[in-house]
Amino acid sequence: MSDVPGRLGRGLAKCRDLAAGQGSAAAVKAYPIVFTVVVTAVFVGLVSAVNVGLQARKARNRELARQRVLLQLLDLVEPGENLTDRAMARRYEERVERVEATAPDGGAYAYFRRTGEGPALYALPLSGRGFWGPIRGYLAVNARTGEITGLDFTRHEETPGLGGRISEREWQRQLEGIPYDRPFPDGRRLRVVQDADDAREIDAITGATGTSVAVEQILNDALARFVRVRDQEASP
Amino acid sequence: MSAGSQANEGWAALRRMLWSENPVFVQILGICSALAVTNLVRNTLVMCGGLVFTTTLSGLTVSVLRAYTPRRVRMMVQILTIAAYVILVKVVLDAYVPEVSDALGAYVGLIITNCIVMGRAEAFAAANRPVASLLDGLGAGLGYSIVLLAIACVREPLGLGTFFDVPIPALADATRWNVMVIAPGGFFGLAVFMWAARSLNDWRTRRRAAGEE
Repeated sequence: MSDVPGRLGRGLAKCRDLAAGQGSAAAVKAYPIVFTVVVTAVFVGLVSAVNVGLQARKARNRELARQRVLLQLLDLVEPGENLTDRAMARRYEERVERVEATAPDGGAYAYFRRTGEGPALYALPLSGRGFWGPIRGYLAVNARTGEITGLDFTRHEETPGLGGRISEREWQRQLEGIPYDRPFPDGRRLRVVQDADDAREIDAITGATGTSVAVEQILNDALARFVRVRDQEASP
Repeated sequence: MSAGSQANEGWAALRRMLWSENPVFVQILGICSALAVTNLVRNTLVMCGGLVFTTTLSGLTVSVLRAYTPRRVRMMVQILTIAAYVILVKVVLDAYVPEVSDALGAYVGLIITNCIVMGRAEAFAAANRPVASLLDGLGAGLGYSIVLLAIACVREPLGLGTFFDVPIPALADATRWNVMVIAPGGFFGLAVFMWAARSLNDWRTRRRAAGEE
């Protein structure tokens, strides 16, 4: 027992011999399997340990990013105000209410409402397929004026510089002031087109037709669902 | 077997990787990511950091294990080592800089299949001592980074009018070259860089030859 370094050294020397093909035939044959299994176990253990250790942090990052987007959309952050993570979580707790509703198709549906004084702002969840992957985000509307007040995405995989421009403020700002209660004859509440000339139209992104079409669909779906839920609750 | 000679060997390998045997424009490896992630300087920098980390540590690990690794399974073990380090990079980026991680998407994971990493493991680390292999890996990562950053520093300003996400005042009114942001911009940038670097090398070789006469 006392000669641990010595035994370890002899063991390692034996492994080197086996790796070079010296030793009994059975041992030389078995060694690559044992070696691969041990090395795999070590690396899998290392990666898993780090991943588990950081899991809570990742979940918190996602939640904070979501809260920040909602607070901004519901106009609960002053321009230029730099909120700490804790202050943000507290304000979210105080001023944002999650409203559960049953969607007309029977599924669960939840949107977010600004509470306390101020405009009657709602944030509607967006989700759908983009050009490359899923797109998620929120669309803010003012229920009193019937206008869209903002848009932000929490997740998308669109091409940087092309479809990825949907996360740029300048593009998102086009939606502000669009009336969502005056649909076109075909049922769409807003259109993404080449040259916007109607109050309910916004400019598509050049070179990103796929993304533009996908976003139009996602926005219309979210608005349609919200309006259906609202009308259903208004006339029981 | 002195530590000094091993370090010298390593520094020589590192210097070769930086220019005369540069993995990207001499060995033509790692081209996929050189084309894909070079449209934003910030993303390029993170990608290069990930690659430097992977080539350095995988070089060290493969070298330490080389005497214990049976020849028949050595490539499996190399890939396993590389994959483990790359997944570590991805997990840490997700936890600490989620925005950058989102922007890089699949490309960090694709470092696993980057030929530079496997190439250095097989060509150098599997036959050299640990410190030398570590420096060789570091050099390969840095040599890759030099090329990618040079390309990104051209593509981002021309394509988006920004540098490191900060708008460049002089380019505020200039027309954006959309083509620099998408894939063709990567091909143009890489080809021009290769042409310039190789012409410079040829010119230097000729001058040296003329000097010796």
